[in-house]
Amino acid sequence: MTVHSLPLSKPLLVLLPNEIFFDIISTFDHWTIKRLSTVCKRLRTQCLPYLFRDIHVSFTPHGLLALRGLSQSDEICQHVVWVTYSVTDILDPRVADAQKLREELYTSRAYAEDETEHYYLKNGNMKTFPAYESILEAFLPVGASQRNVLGKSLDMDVVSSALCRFPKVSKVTLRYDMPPIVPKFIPMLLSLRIKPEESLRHHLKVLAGGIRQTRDCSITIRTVEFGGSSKAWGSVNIDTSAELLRDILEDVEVLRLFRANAILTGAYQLPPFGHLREIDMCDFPVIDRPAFQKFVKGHLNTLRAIHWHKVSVNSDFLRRVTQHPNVSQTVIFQPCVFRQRVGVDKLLLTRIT
Amino acid sequence: MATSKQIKDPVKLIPTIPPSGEFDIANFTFERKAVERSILLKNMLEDLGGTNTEIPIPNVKGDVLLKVMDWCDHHMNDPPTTGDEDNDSRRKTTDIEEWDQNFLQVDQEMLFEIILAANYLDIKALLDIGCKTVANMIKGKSPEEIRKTFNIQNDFTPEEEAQIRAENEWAEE
Repeated sequence: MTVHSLPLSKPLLVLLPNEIFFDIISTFDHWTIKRLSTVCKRLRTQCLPYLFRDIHVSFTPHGLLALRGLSQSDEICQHVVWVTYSVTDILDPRVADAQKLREELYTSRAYAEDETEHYYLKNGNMKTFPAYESILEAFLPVGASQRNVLGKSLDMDVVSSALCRFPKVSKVTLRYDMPPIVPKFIPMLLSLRIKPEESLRHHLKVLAGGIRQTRDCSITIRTVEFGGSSKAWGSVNIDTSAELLRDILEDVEVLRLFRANAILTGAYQLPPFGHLREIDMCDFPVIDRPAFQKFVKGHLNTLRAIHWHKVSVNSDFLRRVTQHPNVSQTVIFQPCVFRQRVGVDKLLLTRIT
Repeated sequence: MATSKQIKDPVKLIPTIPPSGEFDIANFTFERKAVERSILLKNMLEDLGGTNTEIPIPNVKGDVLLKVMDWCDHHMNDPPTTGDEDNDSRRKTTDIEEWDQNFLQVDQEMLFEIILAANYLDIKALLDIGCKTVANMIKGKSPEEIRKTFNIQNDFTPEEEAQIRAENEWAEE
């Protein structure tokens, strides 16, 4: 008998019980599930939870319009659990205008100086470098895209109205990166962006607006993550955005910081968040110890676990932090337990009362 | 087939839907160890106690039951499955050993019947290779090829197709 090629009277694949179907598609990559979801209505319904559980939105017209589109589909909305919002530094508004960029913001003379210096430092000698036009090619589209978003307050409108359309959403990630510029032009970015503090403040405002709306709809964001590149987080401080951070983290139970040292520095200055039970920290080559100490001290009543991944701190420090004299007597911590993983040190503290 | 061998510790399975052709109960006598590959039947045997037991099997056609027991017979000396195999590493691999591949060289209806029977009888390893076989039939195929393979009608209107294309573009990669 030949394999799997008999003409069939009924489509067996679509008649499989859900749990078996889920077993099958749990081995698939995203693209295969996407293809499968376009085969017929029944398969689409079964694939939707896998396709739209985690959604990723970028700070671009395309990304935000996609979020608006998704949030208008009742069928999709009910599956969204985790929203990742990817943002970048905001460029000076003049970057969107070739003439202003060339004449006011970044002249060809400034470019020649920067490029000479940059090229020389990198190669130890000077050769010809790309024409000034290449700067326009690199930055204009990004600038125009950002103006498109900011001019219409698209980010503010869409994020705040979309999040509360997802009844199961419980996790939000803010990824903060450098703008999508080829690496050789990153040094020029320093002259072409607005202050990083202002960029981050803007994005936090958008996120806070969205989370406030979910609260009004009785949806609770329990996990908040801040991630992105060390370059972006390394050059920013959050002092002017403390009230926004408080808004975002008001209901947080799990706080994850990947490279986002500025958030820790901002968060420790705020009154404790009443529900925080877990902090997860990853990739902190340098940690602001006093900030961390104060932050943990403020949350000892609710904290149950601290996870470390690639954080330059030793267990003695953590023990000192958790044995602070102000620690409530009803809270007892068991000794620190180290778990080794490949390339990851994980220090887990568990509250046992 | 199990019946051609000397059976040390026999268990009779009585299918409530007998196989096509002449029904000989001798064909449905199996080694207890093979029967115990099914967690459902293993638990039933434990509950019943004693030897020379007969168990009625509803929900599985006689032909399918014979096929499933063929597999159990071949695998009766495999190490027992543990809960740990429910993890990702079990799922990620798409390799199916040669004997199992040949075993599943059946028409599609039988393949699906085996999967449903393995699910009902709680035979994880068989369910697993059945699901992997179906997964391999889907992987790398276009939607149209998937429809052809499984005889599925495209029930989307052109407007709905345009809509799902747009929605899928929004889904995170």
